[in-house]
Parts: sequence; C-alpha cells; structure tokens
Amino acid sequence: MPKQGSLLAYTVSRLVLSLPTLLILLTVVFLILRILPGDPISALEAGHKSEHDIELDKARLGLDKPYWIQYILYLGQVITGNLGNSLGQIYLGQPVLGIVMQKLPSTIELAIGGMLVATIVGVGTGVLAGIRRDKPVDVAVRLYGSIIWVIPIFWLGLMLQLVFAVALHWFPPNLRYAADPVFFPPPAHITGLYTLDSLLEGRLDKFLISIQHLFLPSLTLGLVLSGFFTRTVRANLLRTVGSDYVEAAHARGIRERYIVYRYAFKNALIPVITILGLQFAILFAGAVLTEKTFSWDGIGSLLLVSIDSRDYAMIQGTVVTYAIVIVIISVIIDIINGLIDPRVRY
Amino acid sequence: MHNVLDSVFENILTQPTTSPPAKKMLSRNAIIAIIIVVILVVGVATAVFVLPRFSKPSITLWYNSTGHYGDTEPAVAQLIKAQIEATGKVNVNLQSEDWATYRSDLAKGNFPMFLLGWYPDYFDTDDYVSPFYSSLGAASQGSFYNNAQMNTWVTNESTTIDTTARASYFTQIQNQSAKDVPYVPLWMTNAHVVYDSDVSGVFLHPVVFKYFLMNKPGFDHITVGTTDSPTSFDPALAYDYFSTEIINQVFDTLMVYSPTNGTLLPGLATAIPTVANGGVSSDGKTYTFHLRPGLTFTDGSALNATTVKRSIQRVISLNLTSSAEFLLQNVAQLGATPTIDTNCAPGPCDIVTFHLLQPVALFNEIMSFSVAAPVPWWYNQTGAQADMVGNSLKVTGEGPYMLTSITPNQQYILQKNPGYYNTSLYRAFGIPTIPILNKVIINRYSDSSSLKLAIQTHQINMAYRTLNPTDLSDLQGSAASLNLKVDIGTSPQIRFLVFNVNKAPFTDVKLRQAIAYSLDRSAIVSNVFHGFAVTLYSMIPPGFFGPDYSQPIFKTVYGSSPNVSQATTLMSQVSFTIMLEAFQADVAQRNRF
Repeated sequence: MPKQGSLLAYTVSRLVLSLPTLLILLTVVFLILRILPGDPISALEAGHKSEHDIELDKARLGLDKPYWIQYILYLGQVITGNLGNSLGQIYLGQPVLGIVMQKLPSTIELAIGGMLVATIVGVGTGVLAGIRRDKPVDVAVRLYGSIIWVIPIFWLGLMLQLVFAVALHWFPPNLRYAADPVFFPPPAHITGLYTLDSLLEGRLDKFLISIQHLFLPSLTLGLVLSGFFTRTVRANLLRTVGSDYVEAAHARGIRERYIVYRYAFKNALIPVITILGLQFAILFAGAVLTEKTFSWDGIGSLLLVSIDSRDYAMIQGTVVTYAIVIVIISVIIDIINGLIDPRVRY
Repeated sequence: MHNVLDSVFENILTQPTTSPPAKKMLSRNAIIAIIIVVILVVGVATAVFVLPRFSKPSITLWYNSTGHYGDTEPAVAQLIKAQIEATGKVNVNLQSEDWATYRSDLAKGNFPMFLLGWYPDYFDTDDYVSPFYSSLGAASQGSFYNNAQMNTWVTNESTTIDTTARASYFTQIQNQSAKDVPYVPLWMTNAHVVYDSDVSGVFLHPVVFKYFLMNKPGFDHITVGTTDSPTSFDPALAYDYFSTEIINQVFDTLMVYSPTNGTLLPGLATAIPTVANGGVSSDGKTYTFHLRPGLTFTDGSALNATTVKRSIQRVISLNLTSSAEFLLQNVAQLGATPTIDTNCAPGPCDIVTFHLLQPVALFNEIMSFSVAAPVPWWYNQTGAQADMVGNSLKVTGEGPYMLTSITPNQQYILQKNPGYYNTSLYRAFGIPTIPILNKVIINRYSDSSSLKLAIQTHQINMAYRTLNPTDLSDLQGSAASLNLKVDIGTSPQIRFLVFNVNKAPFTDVKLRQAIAYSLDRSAIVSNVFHGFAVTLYSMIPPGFFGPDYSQPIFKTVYGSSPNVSQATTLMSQVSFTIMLEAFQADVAQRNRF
C-alpha cells in the first residue's frame, strides 16, 4: 500500500477522484440530451417517414425505453469501452470511438499549439510587467491582459486571417493541411499529430506545411488565453518580489536581475502551474470555436456537427473524450505540482 | 368616499394608546403588505386574463437558426415579421430551432407558420406540386393541406404525358393554391460559383454541377471549396445535394443531362425511351431501356440489365432511412416489389423493362436521378454500402471520375476514370472528350467566411456552395483585382412560407390570404440577398422546364407589392375566438421550452 503523502498515493487518489467527475459529467450530458426537444431519429427521418415508422425505428434503437434503462444500458456499454455507433447523418452507423479517435489528434495538436503560445506570450508579458511595475510597459501589458481576455475567439481569428493570410499571404487562412495531395500528401498516420508525424516520416517540407497551417489557429487560441497568464504571472511575481526571502537576498547585495530570475520568477510560477490544469479545460472549450473559425477538423467541429443532428452517441462520446483528456492532463499537472511543491500532497 | 376610507383606515391604524391592544389587531406593515398583495394579484390576473382580450393577438413565425439555409434566415424572419406587423393587427413572435429539431417539429405539426425551402429531386414540374399540394406530400411539409380536388389534379398531371392536359391541370392547381394559400412562394435562390479566371467549362447546371467539363490550362487538377457535408456515396442512401453531386461524377444513370440544361441525353442506355421509338408503351406503364454493350464498373465487374434490375430492387428493398427510395417506389410507381424484366436468361442481357403500377409522366427524369444509378453486384444488399471499409475505398461506379480518397468531412478527391465508356458524350456541344482534368480535389470549409478567405487567397481554385450574399457581393466587387470570375445563375431552389392549415389561427384562410397580401418579396431580395435572389410568385419556378407551366399567380391575385389595407381588412374578419385560441396555443408552444 502506498505510504500516505507519497507521490504514488497522491496520484492514485487523484485518479480515483476523477472517476466520480466523469460519471457525473456523463450523467448530466445524458440527461440534458434527453430533456432537450428533438432526437436523432426524428432528425434523420422526419418528413420522410410516417410517425409510426419513426417510432418503430426509435424502438429498434432502444430510444423508447425509460431514461433510466437507457442510462444503465449506456453505462454498461461505456464501461466495456464501447461508445456506441453514430446516429447522425454524416457518420451514420460508424463506431463513435473510431471517429473520435480519428479527430482527437488534431484537437490535441491545436491545444498544444495554443498552450505554447499562451505560455510564451502570457509568461513573457507577465514577467515584463512584474519587473517594470507601474511603468508604461506595465500599464500597457495590464491593458493587454484585460482586453485580450475578452476578445471573442472568432473575431480575433478572423482578424488574424485577414492580416496574415489575405493581406500578407504569410500563412494559409484555414484548414489543417491544404497542399497538393500528389506531391505533398498529408503525413502518414503514426500519432495523428501532423507536425510530429511529418518529422517521424523525415519530411521537413510537410512539417513546414503543417506548422504553417497550425500557426494562426494556435495564435488565436493562445493569445486569448495568454491574458490570464499575464495577469497571474505579474501578480505572483510582485508577491514574491515583496517576500522576506527576496528582501534577504537584497540585503546580501545580490544583483536584482539574479534575484528576479533565480528566486522570484521560479516561485511565482508555482501557482501558474497549479492553474494550468484548469486552463486546459478552458483551452479545449476555446478549441471548439477556433476549429469552427479555421475549418479545423477536430473533435470540436465533430461536436458541433453532432449537436446539429442530435447524434446522442457522438455527443456523449465526444464529451466523455474531452473529459478524459482534461482529467488526464489535470492529473499530470497535479503530479508535476506535487513534485514541485510537496506540501500539496499532505 | 375618500373621507369614508380615511376614517376606516384611521380607525384601524390609530388605536387609542390608553386602551389595551386588541389581540388580533393588524399592524400597519401587515395592512400595507395585504394591499400590495391584492394589487399584485389583481394586476397579474388582469395581465393574464383580461389584457390579451384587448391587446393585439400574437402569432409565431418559426425559422431555422443553424444555417441550414445559410446565415440570412434571421434577417428574412425579421423582415417578414415587420411586414406582417405593418397591418397593425397582430404581433409576430420569432422562434427558431436547430435544423434537426425543426425538421422533426414541422413534420409533427408543431409549427403554425414557418419558413422552408425546396430543392427538386427530379427535373419535372411535378416535383414542385405533388410534394406540396397532394395531401400525403403536404403532411410531410408540415402544412397538412388536404383538398380532394387538388389530390385529383395532382394525380392527373403526374400520370399523363399530354402537355396540353398537364398545362390545364397545373393552371388549376396554381389557381387553387392562391385561393387556399397553404404556402406563400417568396423567392428563388441564385446559384453561384466563384473561380479562378483561367478555369473554363463551368456551367451552373440546374441539376448536376459537372466537374468533368472543367479545364484549367497548364494544370491537371483543380481544388474546389465547399461548405456542404456529404452523408453517403451509396445511391441507395444519398439524398442531399453534395452527396448526389459527387455520385453524379462517379456514377452514370440510364440517361444523363445535357451540359447546360435539363434536356436528357442517353447515358448507360442507347436512347431515351419515348412512345414514338417504342421505349414507352402506349398506356405509359412500360418503359424499356437498351443498354450500351460492354459496360463495366471501374473494378471490372459487369454492368448489364441484371445489374440495373438488382440496383433498383436493392434501393426499394433496403428502404434506407432518409433516402430517396420513395421516388422509385411511390413517385415512379414501381411499387414495393417492382416488376422488372430483362433479356438475360438466355440473352445478351442488355434490355431492361420497367412495369409501372400506373403511368408516370416523369419516369425518365426519376431514372436520371442519383437514386437510380446502378451499383456493382457486390454492393451491400442488407444495408447501405460503407464508403470505406478500413482503409479501402468502396465507392465504385462507371462515371467520368472515380472517388479515390475520402477524409470524412474534410477532403474528397476525384480522379479521372481511364476506362470511361462515354468520353464523347458532349461532342455535339463542342466538348470533344470528358473528363478533361485528371483530378478534382474538394475541400470542406466550416462556413461562408472561411470559404471566402480560401478563394480570396487562392488556396482553392473554385468556391461552390455556399457563400452568403455579403461575401458574394464583396467577391463580385473585387473579382477583377483578385483574378476571379463570379457566375450567378438561377437555382431551382425555392423558398416559401408554410401555414399549418390545421393549427389556429391559420385554420382561417382569411388570415393566410391577409399575410399573402402583406408580404414584400422585393424587400427581402434587395435587403437580405443584395439582389442575389429572384422574387417568386408560384410554387412552380419559371424558366426551368421544357413546357413552362409556371404562372405568377400570387402576383396576379395579391399584387407584386404589399397591399396593407387589404391585409388589414382581411385580418379584421378573422374571428376573435380563433385568434385567442392561437394566442393560448402559442403560449403553450413557447412554454414547451
């Protein structure tokens, strides 16, 4: 049995705690879908078949059963790793898990790109504002932190498209990979992450094409999130700069730059890492809009299409996948946090 | 009175300080609270029960909010609301739903008044009549219109090939439609395509957009962008525009359309069956097709009379959800167990004969629709044929192109069929051979704005379906500087207002007529569509078919501009009981959510 306070015990407890989170989420999504007007069979067949035939088809799929029976049956399926088959028009009859797994890498790639931008821009501007407190640059960065946070993703995306794609022609305006399929077909599927797969394939040209396509969506998503990082890093840096150990360092005559980067900055980052897990949830939510804006074919786009066709199985599968990814990332970040700051384990 | 009340209040509120307090005396605050409660109760009761009787009744206009008809729908709904409210007699509530729920609700009869559109399945006037004015079709459109005389006229026009007789039936149907007003035709959308100025052979065909006629000198392929999503490339299942568009590049039917209009040409068959050439029996119930010799699918399997017979039987026996199966079974009158003869055992297996339950004037047009495309023998006979099994592509036809790559909802690649049997099909039209380009790459974009950016930056060579009017107008203005061409053509898609004639207050024809008087189609076309649409005054759009049966009956009866005084007069005649019933139904409907 892992010793209380050990990293293993902490990890196990975090994983166990994530199970009820998933169950609650699954239940809520299941119920909301059934409470809302409309159902997948009516969406497919209304106007083409009689009410009687529609009811027969619903019965065939078990959609006429009481909700609690449908719920138990669905849970039974999910536990065995079967997310069911799509009931929507586009993927009708295809296994949900297969489709979701096909789309997931593109969303993960976008999320990683977005997080990179958010971290680089957010931490950079936060530190800049922190060390230049109350100077014009601090005011400007604080203003940036407030404004960028409230800019709608689709608007920012459109502006970046107009500037960098239409006016400057530096980047493609949208899609994940639009190149001549004869000379530059998409990278062979290894991980599903085009940037990584193209490198594994040893094709630098495809890597550049992938990066070009990834840049604007990542920038859009990352910039919107960076505002939160800017403000958090700045606030924490100011707090650590004013702490006793920094004053002690000053008293010992250590250089300001050394104090900031060696002591204050590192400690200021601990709370940032803590909130990183939460930010990933927001990042994935933002990815839905980003995917729509850039015609990016990920699970965000899949979710939107599935909602339109009331594809219960696909919506549930997509949301569960989102939740699992976010839980996994949160657990990883919690573990990193536990490693950096052992106090959180107790 | 004032003095009496004062004294009563004074007696209650100002008890003599010397006398002992009464045990149940009400405090000043309690009395004020009671008065407030009474005022609130009376106020609410008045608002709920009395005021509606004296205020303007309200009706609800439903529209789709998720872009099924593009992003112009809310603006159209707002404009119609304002036009109806200009009568001063009713308020119009706007309600919207996502397409899935919308389609379901309208078929269930939940909507009293709503916006809808129609794109034809087969190229005949009947496709604008029977789905709307036959009681069976009307139920699926959500109007629930049922007129025995109309049913007879619709049956008559669809079972005769005599153009004079058909003209007479269509005239009567259109006249009656303007009297009963289950629908108000509003506008025809424009078809549009934006493409690199060096691309040639682009025709906005009313039925089939033909990539195999296009050319781009110096290039072996073009990249096309679209916002459409396909459902399936199995002819037995596909019934949406994009899927059938791809099927039309990959599969041929017994007859195919001319490059520019709805004239039929022989496809897999050697001739168009007519009574004159003996292909159609004198009673109009038997159609015989002679197949070209040596036809094969791209996988090498044979395409003969048995394949054609089995393909039609497959569509009907599968009867797949949301497919166009009903066109074969019901509209083409092949029935649930079609009688189809071939000359295969023994014989060259090149003649196929269809026996119809009753004569159908538009049988050839239906046999030219994608649902009637023959498929290989090995296609799934128990369900829809999956487009891909694992990594293997299964879509197999015999048309000018082969579908060689599918990335679902993202990219589709068409490649020249090297063994195409009919390369000189359009020689008479000055096109020596088809297909011209080796490859057509179709990329899918999430919305009009993404599609516009893609064509603006030449990420694609062509944007086909669907740019919104604002984006289209922008591109038209900057086409020359961007080296683009913008083609605008008429589309057979019609848009109209539907009344559920079984649902109050639209059970009263006067209200339907009043709304027909109040609508201003020109304002919709100019304000919302920037002129990229055409006003429509009959459910049968003009100018699409050989014999043009369309008559602008709504212009004749209700005028080309709104007649508010006439609308107001008619609305005044609608009974109060019906309006109150509608108000209550309206509240109940909205409370459903």
